[in-house]
Amino acid sequence: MDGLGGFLSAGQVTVTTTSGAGHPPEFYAERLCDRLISIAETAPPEIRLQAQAYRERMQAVALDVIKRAIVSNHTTVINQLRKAGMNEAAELVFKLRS
Amino acid sequence: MAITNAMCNSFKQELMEAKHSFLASGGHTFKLALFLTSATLSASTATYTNTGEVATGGGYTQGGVSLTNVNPSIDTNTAITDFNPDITWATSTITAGGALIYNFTTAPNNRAVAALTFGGDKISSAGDFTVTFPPPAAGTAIIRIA
Repeated sequence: MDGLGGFLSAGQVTVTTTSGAGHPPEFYAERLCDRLISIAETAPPEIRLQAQAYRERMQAVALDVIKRAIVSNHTTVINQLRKAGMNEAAELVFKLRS
Repeated sequence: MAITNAMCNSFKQELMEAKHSFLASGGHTFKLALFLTSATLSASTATYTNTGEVATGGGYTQGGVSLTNVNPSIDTNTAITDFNPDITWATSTITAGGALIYNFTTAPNNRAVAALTFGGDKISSAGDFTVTFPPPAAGTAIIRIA
């Protein structure tokens, strides 16, 4: 591309699939950080390292929060199932928590 | 017959004819439809049709799903736009090799925007089929003009 030129281009999507289950919390923690933190390819190496370290810390925080949210949601589901007399199903969901 | 990653030629022209708006509020509705590896999608694709599209069933409905526009912006001298959130067909059984983003609003309807290859068959089985858009940055965004 010269100084006056330009180009129109399409980015590359990523496809992630699962079988018999949903995505793990790690998938969403990574996606969250991908959305929130981008590190310029042109950034100086020391800045890149610092940014990557920050990103890793944020991903760990996000993962922890997502896992807590899942457990919290399971608590709600378990209680709803028990109230409906579906104790076997409630036990199954309870086992998912561990 | 193949799917290649490309901005559709008709879209390039139609941008100059102001036929596409990616504004989050008041912009057009863009959709993403899934296609079989055997489909033909390329820069020459001008309109969405269901030829070669994944069949309805297993959690997928032909025509695809609507995307949520993110206002276009400038990142390091590059105009970019994005769609957020990513798309997930949950509890689905789908096999697809590529996708087409198209404008569901512009008259005539269903004008193609971009053909996207997945690099081979991607398969979900009673699980999640997630299409993740690239980071919205100058070198990576799903649609960018430098």
